[in-house]
Amino acid sequence: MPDGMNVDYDGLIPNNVDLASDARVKKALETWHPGYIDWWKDMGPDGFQEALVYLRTAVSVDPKGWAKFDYVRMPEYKWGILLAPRVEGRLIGFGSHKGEPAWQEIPGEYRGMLRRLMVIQGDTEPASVEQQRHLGKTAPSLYDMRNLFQVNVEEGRHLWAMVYLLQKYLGKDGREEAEDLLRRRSGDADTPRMLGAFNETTPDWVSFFMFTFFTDRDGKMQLEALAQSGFDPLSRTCRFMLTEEAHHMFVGETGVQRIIERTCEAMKAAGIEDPGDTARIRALGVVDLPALQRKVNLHFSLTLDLFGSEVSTNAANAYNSGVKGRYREDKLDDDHRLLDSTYPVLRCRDGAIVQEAVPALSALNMRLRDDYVADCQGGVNRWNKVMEKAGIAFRLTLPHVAFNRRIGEFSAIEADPEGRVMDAGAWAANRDRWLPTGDDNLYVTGLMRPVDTAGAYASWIAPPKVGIDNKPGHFEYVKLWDA
Amino acid sequence: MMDGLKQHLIDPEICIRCNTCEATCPIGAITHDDNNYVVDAGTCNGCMDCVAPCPTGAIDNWFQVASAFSLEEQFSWQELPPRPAGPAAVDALDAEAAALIAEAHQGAGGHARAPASASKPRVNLFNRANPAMARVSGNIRVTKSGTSSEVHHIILDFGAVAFPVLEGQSIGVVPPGVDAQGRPHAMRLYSVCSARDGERPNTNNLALTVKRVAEPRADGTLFRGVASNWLCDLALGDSVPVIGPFGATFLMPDDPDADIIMVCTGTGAAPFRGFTERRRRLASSGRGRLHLFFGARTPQELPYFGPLQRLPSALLDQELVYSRLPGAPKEYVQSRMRGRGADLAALLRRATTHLYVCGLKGLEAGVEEALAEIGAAHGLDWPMLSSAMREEGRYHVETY
Amino acid sequence: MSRIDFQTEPGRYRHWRLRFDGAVAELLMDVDPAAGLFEGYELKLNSYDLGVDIELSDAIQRLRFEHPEVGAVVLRSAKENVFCAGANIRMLGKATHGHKVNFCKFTNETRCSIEDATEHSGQTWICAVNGTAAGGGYELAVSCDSILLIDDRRSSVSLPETPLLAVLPGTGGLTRITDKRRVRRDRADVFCSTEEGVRGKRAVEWRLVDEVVPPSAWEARIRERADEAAARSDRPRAATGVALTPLTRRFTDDGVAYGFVTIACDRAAGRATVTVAAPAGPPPATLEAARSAGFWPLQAARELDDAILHLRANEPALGLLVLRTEGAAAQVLAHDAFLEAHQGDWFIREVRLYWKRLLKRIDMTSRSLVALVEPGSCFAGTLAELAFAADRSVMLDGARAGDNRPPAALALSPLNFGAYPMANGLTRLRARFWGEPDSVGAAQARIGAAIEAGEADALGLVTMVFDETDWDDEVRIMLEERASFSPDALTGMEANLRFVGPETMETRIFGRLTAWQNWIFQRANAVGETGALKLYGTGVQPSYDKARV
Repeated sequence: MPDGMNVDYDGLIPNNVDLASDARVKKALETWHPGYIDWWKDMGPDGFQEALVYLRTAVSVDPKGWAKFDYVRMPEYKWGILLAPRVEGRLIGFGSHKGEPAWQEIPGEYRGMLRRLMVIQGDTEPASVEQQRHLGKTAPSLYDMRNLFQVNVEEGRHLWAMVYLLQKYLGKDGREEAEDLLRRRSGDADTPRMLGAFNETTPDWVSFFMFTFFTDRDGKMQLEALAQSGFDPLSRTCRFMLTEEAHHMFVGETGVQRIIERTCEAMKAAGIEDPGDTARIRALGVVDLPALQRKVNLHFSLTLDLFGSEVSTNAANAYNSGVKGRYREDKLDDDHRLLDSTYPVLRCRDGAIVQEAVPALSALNMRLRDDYVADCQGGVNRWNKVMEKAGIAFRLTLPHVAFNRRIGEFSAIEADPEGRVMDAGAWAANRDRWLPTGDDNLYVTGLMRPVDTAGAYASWIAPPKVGIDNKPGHFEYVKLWDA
Repeated sequence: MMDGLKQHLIDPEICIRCNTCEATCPIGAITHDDNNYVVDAGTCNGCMDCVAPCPTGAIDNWFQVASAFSLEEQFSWQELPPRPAGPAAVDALDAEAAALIAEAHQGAGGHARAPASASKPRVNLFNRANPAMARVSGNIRVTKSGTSSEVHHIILDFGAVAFPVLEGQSIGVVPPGVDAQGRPHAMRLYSVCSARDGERPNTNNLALTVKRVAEPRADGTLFRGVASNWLCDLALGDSVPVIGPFGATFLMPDDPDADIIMVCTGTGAAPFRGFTERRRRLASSGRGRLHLFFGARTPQELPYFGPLQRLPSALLDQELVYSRLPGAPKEYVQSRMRGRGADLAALLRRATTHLYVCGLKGLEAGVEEALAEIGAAHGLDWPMLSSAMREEGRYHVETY
Repeated sequence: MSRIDFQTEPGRYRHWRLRFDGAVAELLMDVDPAAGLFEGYELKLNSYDLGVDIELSDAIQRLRFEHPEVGAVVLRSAKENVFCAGANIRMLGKATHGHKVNFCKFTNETRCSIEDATEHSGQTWICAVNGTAAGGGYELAVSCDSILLIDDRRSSVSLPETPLLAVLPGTGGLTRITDKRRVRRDRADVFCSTEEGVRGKRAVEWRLVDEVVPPSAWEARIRERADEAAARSDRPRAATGVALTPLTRRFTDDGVAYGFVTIACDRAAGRATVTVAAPAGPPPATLEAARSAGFWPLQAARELDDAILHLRANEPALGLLVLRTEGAAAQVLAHDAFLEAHQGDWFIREVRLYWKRLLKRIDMTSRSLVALVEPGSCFAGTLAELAFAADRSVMLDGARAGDNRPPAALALSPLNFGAYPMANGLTRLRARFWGEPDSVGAAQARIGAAIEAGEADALGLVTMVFDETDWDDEVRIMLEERASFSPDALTGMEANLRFVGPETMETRIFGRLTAWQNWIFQRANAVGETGALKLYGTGVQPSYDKARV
């Protein structure tokens, strides 16, 4: 059998990395564990720690038996350390070390770079749990509540995954970083999370679905790029995390899709054809589509900021050193070194948006961002099919990458969602057409009333097509009162 | 046996194009274009690796088709074509196993459905050509020696191989060697009698309850069952190729509030031992209770008689019924059920009660009769209730 | 290449903003990425080039002269999450060796002037590191009196040059962490080889910063420290500053003409003659009348400063600077007396300190310096320091035929004996007489006297004395010979001989650190086609010649 298939359940921490015979890391993790549980209780879902939640637990890395579904109290969730099986003879697939055997230990010269990447990745995982901790109280159904909690516990597991790497491969520094991951708090003035978007609150469920669709998708792209890493344990960790991350994509995409379905259905039932007839549509207790578009504009633009500078030395270094690849590098057909090629990048030159050919190595952030945009566009197209099918004359679009940016080239200018550059005054005058307004937020907040009867859904969201684990519609995904 | 093939399809309306299936597939049978993720029927070997990791359930469609949909057809779909008639749940892709299960489930009348709160079973992860290799880590007789009924409890350990089963599922084995005609032996199915997390918690093994078949023929010779004798004779450490798992309906509800009535004879107790173990390990997380009607000739011939005595009645309400107890009248499970008619009627009125019957062919008829009588006596329309329960996945029969 | 201009003013700043609130000023670094001095790089993340530093230098100068009310200056970044990423690497990668060296020298002088302001002007610099301070960013911070680091668990200080760029933190970083901040040297070794740097508590423990402050207390704590520092200042809150009005300059092909200073280039000979003129008349009658940019000591200093910087940056081929003075020595001495009499005044103090820094800048100038002391010259007092700064001074003995001016003479003032210490802490005369301390006393006894060639020679105040007969040929041959030597060897030789005696932090920065840095800047490991500076940003790893030299 390939190495790493065996899952050890005997210890405190389920793992397939033979923790039992690694006293140093085992001790480090067991020392870290109580702090983690305290963090979960302090910062995890507020008010639902005792509820029985029908959760999926990753128990193996073998696809035949990788997950189990069962009712679990979240603090008792088995957060384990699971790495995709080691591929014998795996070679580094890109950069200056292309063709050399993948590293099983961190090469000294890339220590800092790997540590930084792992800490940043690790920091986003608990951050979103913190951002979402109050949402359980306004869940539109037990199904959605369960999905929220599933996302939360898996973000928790992803934190474990990064902490394991830090503790296993980065010694004392790694242990300190692992502690700091528990100390930072999303939105805290003194100890904020590292990335901007992870310090914003997730105030309502529409935001939550948008966040999981757009922002978690950035996480997916980063994981995809790290899954290509020449540092094999990181690659294996990320490959396994991606399996779980897919569920988060699912929650976001279908969440928004179900909102659209419900809105379309309600509009048709009421005989409303104009998607802009906000007052009448809102009287139906559903989310009007233009408001949804404004949410799209906001979350998309905030997430683009996470991709960093358009032209980036760090990205180039990480690629060339074999530490972080491109999205699905192994499926790309080129020299995987990129020393001589260029990549077209949209840049801001004297206040105008122009396309420039940039050395491909320096443009890797943009390459990943372009892949991200294409991935988002696929989801938006599927949302639009719902409207098309329902015969509602409205389509959602992704705003231009220059719209509403705070980081990178376009932070210096103002552009509308079509990418037309304008002065700050004109932009401000139109802001409420493009980004969620105070009214939007008040209205959406007003919709957020908890629905906790099995099989029932809030007025603004349609039931899912398929239940989790094939469960029927009335399945009680969260047992609130047995707790 | 069915004609054509069961084609593996992905529902484009539900799929979110996350690439998990394509990344998981060990043989590259899944591919995509800008529109859809699709399975190449010519490549897919039904290993099921892609099924569990799929976040949406879009992956789990198996259409009985005369000829396969091409990749181009699948790429063009906006939604799946109309679903062909037939059971929704797939017990087995393996035709041989599917036929065996279909036959065993006949007794309930109509397509079986899994309990609403049952976990989603994994089926057909291993086939004849590519079985999971298990090692015998226990083989003990669980009926008293000296009785004619020799029942073995056999533990198969899978080592590093993932072989996920749920209580109530079966596995297939093929005895080594060839039959009188020189062909490989037919597959036999055995119910798993352990809980999903192993014979002991967190072990990667499962247990079977196997009765050694050795019956005198009319001509005075002894008929010795090939498979059961092979299994009962296995020594510790022997290697056993295992196929499956199979079965997608005869599963226990995960709802800890569900009451479960279990009626069995002989080795039909196997799945119920699994159910009981599962509930015992969950301790008291719900209101539901187990109710067992278990028939045997004598206590000495009742498998697991000893362990059953140690289970608390809060967990398991047990009725052990003997047909050959010296000095006592013959008694069968259906008569004991009648004796508990009021309790059973009260249970059957609850929408959370699940009823399972497992044993030799013929048992289901006696049970049906008894329940019809109980129903009549307590104002329940059993025929209507039973078909409703079947539709809701709360009535299950497995007899052989 | 267009001329690099060292003159600017706040209205033209692209990279800095000044904010004033009573006795506390804030200098905010907000580098415009698109406003680099040259093409081909962007000043991202508050990274700097010479253009950014010219503005910084101007801001420091104006804070001293134009803002007597300011007792504390808070240096901080206007950008989020980044304080300063140091010198722009792409700029360094593209720059010529000469530009790199000059750039580093200027930035070092600017950092020293921050320390000078804290130490001598009653303007305490406090650095508020509100984000990453890497390399030159941290070096900027350590030139301040104290460093506050925001404790947001991500902001750090670092000197990543060695691991990242294969060069040194050459703007004083390596020296100041051990000599000024007294970081233990083994910890400094760890710090300087850790790319990501140090943050939080450890940064305080290792004395890399003075204090870490949580974001919620950040602004209040900065203000508190600044107020404390300002309260200790002796600067007059109510005084009016002296505006540093634009210099009057005229550039021609052959030189530059300022009010009191002229540069005459002789490109064929590879030399420039810098002439400083004495004031036309006596010093102002009152202190109040002196407070203007036209006050001779201030105007002459500003002009000479600009002239030296211009020659360094824009006239690299003129390897020999001939230093001349002309005018009435008596007026120079009268101004010296004025400077001495009013040394307690904040403005006069600034003028004297400015001359101190200007003379140091001349000491640090890697050109051969020859002072010609001729009839009509006025190497007196402050201007005599030019002769003492020169590598050689040559004096004409007696008068030229037909010249009815008095014979050439030197004159000393009290300012030659303490007002203008060199980087090594010595006056130029003490450094000159390092082996004969009694000679300082002998010279001091002659304060105020016109010291003609014979006596000057006897006192050791000049290198050589020639009479009219020999003068033209001797001077010509000396200058031609000098111009024929290897400029590199001359630079090295002069830099060694100018700084006798003790080491100070400053001499270590301009000597040991700069010399090593300049050596590394020449090495293929840094600047070769596969060197770290050249490849930085391309993602391609440098490959090093691993042989130790």
